[in-house]
Amino acid sequence: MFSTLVNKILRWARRKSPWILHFNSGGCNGCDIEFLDLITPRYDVERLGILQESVPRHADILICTGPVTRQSRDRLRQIYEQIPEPKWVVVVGNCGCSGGVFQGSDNILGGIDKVIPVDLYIPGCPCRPEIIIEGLGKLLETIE
Amino acid sequence: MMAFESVIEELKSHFSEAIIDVRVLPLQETIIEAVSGEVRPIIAWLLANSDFYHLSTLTGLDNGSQIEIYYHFLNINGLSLHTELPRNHPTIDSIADLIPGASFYEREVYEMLGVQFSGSTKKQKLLMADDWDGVSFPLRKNDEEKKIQEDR
Amino acid sequence: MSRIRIPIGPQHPLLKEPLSFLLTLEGEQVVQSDLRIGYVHRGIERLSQTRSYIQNVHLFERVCGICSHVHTTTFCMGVEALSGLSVPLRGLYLRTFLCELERIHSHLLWLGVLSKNMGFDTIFMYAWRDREVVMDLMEELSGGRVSHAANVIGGVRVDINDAQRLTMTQNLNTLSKKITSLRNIIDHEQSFHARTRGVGILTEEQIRQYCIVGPIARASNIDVDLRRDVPYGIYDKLTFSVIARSEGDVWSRTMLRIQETQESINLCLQILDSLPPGPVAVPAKRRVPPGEVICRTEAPRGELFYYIRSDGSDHPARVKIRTPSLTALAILPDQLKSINMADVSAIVSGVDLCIACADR
Repeated sequence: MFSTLVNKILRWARRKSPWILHFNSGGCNGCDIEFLDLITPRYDVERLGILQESVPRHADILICTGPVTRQSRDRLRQIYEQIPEPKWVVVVGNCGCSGGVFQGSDNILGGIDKVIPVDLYIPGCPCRPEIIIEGLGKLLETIE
Repeated sequence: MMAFESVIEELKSHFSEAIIDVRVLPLQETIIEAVSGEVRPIIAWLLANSDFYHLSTLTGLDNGSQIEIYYHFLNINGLSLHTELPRNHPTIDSIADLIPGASFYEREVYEMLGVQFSGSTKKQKLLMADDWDGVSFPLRKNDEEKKIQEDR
Repeated sequence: MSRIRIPIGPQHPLLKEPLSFLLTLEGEQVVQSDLRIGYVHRGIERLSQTRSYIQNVHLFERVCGICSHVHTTTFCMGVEALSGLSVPLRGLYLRTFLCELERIHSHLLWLGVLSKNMGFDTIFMYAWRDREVVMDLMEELSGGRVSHAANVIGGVRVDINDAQRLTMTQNLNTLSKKITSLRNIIDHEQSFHARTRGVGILTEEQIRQYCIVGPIARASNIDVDLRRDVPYGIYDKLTFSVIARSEGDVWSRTMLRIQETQESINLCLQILDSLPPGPVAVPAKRRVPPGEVICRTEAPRGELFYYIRSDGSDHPARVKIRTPSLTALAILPDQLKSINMADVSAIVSGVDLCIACADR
């Protein structure tokens, strides 16, 4: 019974305060600056418990932007493996979903899901901060 | 400061055999066609005798039959040196010792087109991935592309 | 003393972009640094040859998300010159207006990132909060906050009415006061001075040798700005000062960019005040006559260079882009020698790198 209670608290904590790691695997920065806008006063996701982390070991959610270039493929995989379970991967932007406008280029592999499993796709070129918050909200609802 | 027209005239008189043609593009850019072996002496002359020290970049392109290289300089007026290299063995002297800023541009032209800059030391990859094979240069035209270009 | 090698990146808190350094330290001193870029190389120049000119306007906007409009401005300028098109005056005014708005947003973004990387989260929050005013203006003008799709070959596809003009003027005046107060905070903040004065100095000689452009060059006494020296668009009709400083350190670059932001706000107000009536674009043909053109503009980070060659079809034969960030990267390893480890973040952030621009 004690372990059920502990698990309940852990799940509530994960849902109420996810820590996010951001990685740009080859994008133009458009989605990254809109993502960074989330922690600024207008959108302020810290009031929702979301904290931006810089170390993979501390993170719950990995937010990826950009198409995967050949050079960043192995680093993306390494970062994914360093994040402890349970973890979720959110892709922000058209390039991360499918390669976006850079489809057909020799130096990109395509979307993020070519390298790591993805839990949530947020399309847009670039995504607005509002839709990133909505997407994260939808993801957190599924963490039960 | 030497006037721009005087720079062109002086160059033409100093390098009369190396300079093939001078033409002007839209938006006031002057292009000097030169023999590839004389590009380095021309640049050394420009650095020593004129106010053209700012190299914007190097442009390389494959026109199907030759590799063309442009050296773009700017000092209010735009001045570019243009030369052509054989496709099967494109080599030209490096200018990275004269203009240290040129080293990145030369490395990029090497990676995109396979042009060898003799005298340059840096061999680390700039833009291409670590697992690049070193022989498939992205901006080189393959046979299919050459055919499409001829048809146009 | 033994040497330690510390790899930083490509995932690191300093920049939102992948870039990796290998720093060799002796105690607290960095003795050597090696740089690796190429993580964001998407092969855009190669891709542009497989797409039409119209599709390429969409592609070049995504070379960089921060300076997207100036890329399409430069490209469209070049294609218009090759096609012999003359953009109507109102179109040029609106194009320049968005260029200057982009300069303001880019400099405020940079100020926030620099402050955050040096531990001044307050200035980061203030700068990005004030930047939202500019994002709203850009959205009002074009429908997009970050990528605008405002340029077309032949002009622009956006326009504003008188009511919008008045609101934008009011908002810009309010923003000007906020930038002044931000400048005062930084002027009086002793710890900001301590971390930026005398740090990351670049001499005039180094700037010339490495052909560095933009605010970094102007902060080291090289007074070059293409908007004044090689005017394009309508810059010859506007009144503005080019700021140049001589200290050459991170402090100098910071103050220079804040002053440039204020100049850009004045330019925007001038444009709104003197916006001429008329059409905003002329029709353009799909095929561009054969030829070549070189166009240069002053992007927020410096001289942006485009070379375009056309073979008479509706696909360009070659587009070469040289972005200003590439020049700053060339000297970064030298800047990171013989410095304290603690100054690395100030120097790297102070250079205003845009790796997406550099890698293309």
